[in-house]
Amino acid sequence: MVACVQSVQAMEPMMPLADAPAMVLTPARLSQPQSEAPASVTVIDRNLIEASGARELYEVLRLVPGMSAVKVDGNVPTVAYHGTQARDSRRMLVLLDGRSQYQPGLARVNWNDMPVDIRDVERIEVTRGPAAAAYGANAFTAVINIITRDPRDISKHTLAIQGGNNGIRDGYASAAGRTDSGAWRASLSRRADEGYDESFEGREINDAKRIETLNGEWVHELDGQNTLILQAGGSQSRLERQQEAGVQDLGSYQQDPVQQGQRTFASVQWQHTFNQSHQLQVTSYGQYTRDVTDFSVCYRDPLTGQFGPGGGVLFSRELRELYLENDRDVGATFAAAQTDPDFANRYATLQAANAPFCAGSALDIEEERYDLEIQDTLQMGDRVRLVSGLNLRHDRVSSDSYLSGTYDNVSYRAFGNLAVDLLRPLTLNLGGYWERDRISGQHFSPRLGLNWRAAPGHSFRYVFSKALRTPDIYEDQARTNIRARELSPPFAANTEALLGWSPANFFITQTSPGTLKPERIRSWELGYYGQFSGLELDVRYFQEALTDLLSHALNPFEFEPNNEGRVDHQGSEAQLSWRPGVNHLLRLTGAHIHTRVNKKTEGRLAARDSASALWAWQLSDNWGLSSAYYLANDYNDNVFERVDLQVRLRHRVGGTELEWKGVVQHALNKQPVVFQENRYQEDRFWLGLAVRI
Amino acid sequence: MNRQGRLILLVWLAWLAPSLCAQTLLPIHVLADEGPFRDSFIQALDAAAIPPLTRVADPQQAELLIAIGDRQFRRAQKLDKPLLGVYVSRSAVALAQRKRCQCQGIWAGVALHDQLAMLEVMMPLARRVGVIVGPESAWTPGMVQDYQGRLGLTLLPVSSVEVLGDRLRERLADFDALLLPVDGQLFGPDTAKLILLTSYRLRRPVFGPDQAYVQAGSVASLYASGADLVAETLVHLQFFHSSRRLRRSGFVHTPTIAVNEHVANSFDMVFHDIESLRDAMEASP
Repeated sequence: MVACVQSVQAMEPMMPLADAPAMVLTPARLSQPQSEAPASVTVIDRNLIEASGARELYEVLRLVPGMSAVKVDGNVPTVAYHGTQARDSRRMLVLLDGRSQYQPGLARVNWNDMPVDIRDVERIEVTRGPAAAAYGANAFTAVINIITRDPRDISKHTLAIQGGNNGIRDGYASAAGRTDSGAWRASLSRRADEGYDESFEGREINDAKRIETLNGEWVHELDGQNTLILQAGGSQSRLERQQEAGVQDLGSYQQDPVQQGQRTFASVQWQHTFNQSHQLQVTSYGQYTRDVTDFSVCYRDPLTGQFGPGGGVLFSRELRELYLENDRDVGATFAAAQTDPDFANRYATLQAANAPFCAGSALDIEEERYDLEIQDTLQMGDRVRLVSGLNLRHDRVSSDSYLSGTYDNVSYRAFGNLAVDLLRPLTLNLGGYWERDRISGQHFSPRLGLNWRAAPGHSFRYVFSKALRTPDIYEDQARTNIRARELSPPFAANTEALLGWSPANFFITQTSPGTLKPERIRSWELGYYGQFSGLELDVRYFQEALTDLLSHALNPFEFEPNNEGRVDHQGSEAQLSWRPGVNHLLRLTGAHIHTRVNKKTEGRLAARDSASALWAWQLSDNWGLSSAYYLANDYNDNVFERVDLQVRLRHRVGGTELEWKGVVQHALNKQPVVFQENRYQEDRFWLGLAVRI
Repeated sequence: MNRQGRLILLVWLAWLAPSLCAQTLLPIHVLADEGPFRDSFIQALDAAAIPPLTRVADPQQAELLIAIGDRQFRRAQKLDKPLLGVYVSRSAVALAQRKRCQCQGIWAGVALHDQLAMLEVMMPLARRVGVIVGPESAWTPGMVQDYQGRLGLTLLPVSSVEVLGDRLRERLADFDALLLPVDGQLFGPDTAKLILLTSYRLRRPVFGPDQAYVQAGSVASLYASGADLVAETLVHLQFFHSSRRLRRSGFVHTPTIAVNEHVANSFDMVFHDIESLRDAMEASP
């Protein structure tokens, strides 16, 4: 007993704010119980990820109510909360260990090339609803926060392989270790498949992919108050891309488009604990991405429709000048060309070449980001918590094809989120984010949340928030030029003489007016979160008004920059986890959303009804079975409906743990996924083995 | 259970009081390390009228020895007298009994099912609970394996502090919560940081083993407070006084609840106040 008394005296509380346990961390940057968070939150932890049987990270997001996660463009996934346009995931922020994966150049999140493997992920927190008050512009409809495994919690090295039909060939190796004052981990992975397998209009779909990732982290506890976290990694990818319809109209692909991507990142974070109620965190990171899509085309003569030297006029200086003189109207340009003497001379010069005109081109973009953030978290008494901070960010984008040069954007930001227990069962969350950058000027995004704990385990919330998505650098500064890089002879040797300029560019060019406004969202929700015996339930009703949307096409062939788009969502969502027994978990999600749009393309990914069901059954200490069902009714008039089944066997051989698994994914209908060309002919299946030493 | 148990005990002692007053005094001797708890414990025994006691300075003149803690318990065995250990480890009592000592003990810690009852009330979502058990733990592997309740318990045998970290890293994520028994070797101040910070990072709450851990950051624990130990000691003394036999060893029947409200709130647990929790535990099957 004396020893017991002594131990009471000796044990200090070990819950500085940085280490405080929390069911959710993302909505307000504060460690909060779910019942006090100013948002609806979905948490997907490692157990759920494993039970889902997912091969790729984006797939597990189907377990989030209201979330669309599908491969829209062959091998390129689109993940969107309350989806609108099919190919855009530009209205949602994705964080990977606090680093924004939202790329400023083309306003996108590249799920393929994210430098992390699904096995490295500890948990994913999805804040459903605008969260610009905590993360700034582009945390528009939701925030996905991917948190990798802490090296201090890993005790084994892992080697895993899996293979299946349709070219599924995956490998993964990871190592972890501990030092006197910290721990480290590193992983290397590769995944490959051949995409959709059913041919479309008589030809194979070109959508195979191969991706390699590297991800490492080192945690160093300097002393009881200071922790240093270093992370670094990268990825490289090779994606076969589908042929562009616009290009197909002009000629014939000699080499299918292939997208090569590279990514690297490094980050350092210093956490300092002043005392149990005050903590400072300084984070700095840099990331670099480069994507190049090469393709080679032989062009038709626009006057005859035949392959020949006349195809070169599409890259001639004279046609470019006519295009600009005719207000970028392609029809008017060709009408004017028929009577233009310079064009006639150019056409005649080309005919003398007497060879088909073929050219290689590339869509290229390089993006760099340097980010420095200081965040201070303070607990004031029992009832008030405040997180505040400053952020400085420098984005640089270089692209010959999209920008014809390099553009820099520097943003300055300040944020604060306050959580106050007004009366014991009532919590007020107030948050705001001020930012200023070169493209969009100055903005402020507010949020108000009120949580009422009606009884232990039961709470209601009201949240009102506003957010914005700033135009990306391409939208604001586009100056497109598709250059003829590898010309066929004799055009390569006499480019200037034959085409009128060197280097030669495709005649169509697009220029952004630079006057686009940010897209805006205004949202409110009423929600309930409750715990019963073995059952957890979250439901919400919401209304969202998205205005000033850049809904029209903004690609090198079609370019209509305006803020005329509008989308209104209203609906309800629910997620339920039920443990009927020790060895069973049933998880259900559902969303029913009414969407109104003023441009049809904004509704392509807006499913009125969507649902997921996951059942995991631990049959014995060694055997596990899980099954999932996914429904989206509909995407672009096509219903997505699929069931997955996974069987797992874990056993030990000496000190080594082996895990065998088999997964089958079966589509319940033959409808295409969003677009006609995305079809599966047969079920996907694969077998895997993981060895943990 | 706690409040009800105390009430029954008081009624029982009050009912016996008139007849007991007429009986002879029971000479006892208390062996305890110097400190505030010893003083408080002795003071409480001296103040107790039931059973009639007299505290003697010479252990040889005592009919019953009371030893507090393992060290004093081992020391008292050499005196070859009837011996009651208070807040002693199960293993120490078992070892002494194998040596055929005339002794029983009030074990350090609380009963497994009591801790689980509290966990069930506070975490209605929990189904899978990991229980770490070491050679010196208050609970044996058999106790965990014999559990027949609604929760699924997984026994995590840990032989020493050295392997505790690896065992946590390997298994903690499989559970909804972790339950720790009182164990002077495994769960002292040195390992609290490892256990609690690992549990925070993996979002798996820790229950137990005692008040000190709750203060450090585990969610909650039932524990044997000084008052609980005094009350339980009096029950043993009364039994010995009336029968001249030692009552069987066991945990305190009326443990005290400690809750770290901040941690409980962080994990969104069902907790309003201690009294409501106690009522809910009493109402639970």
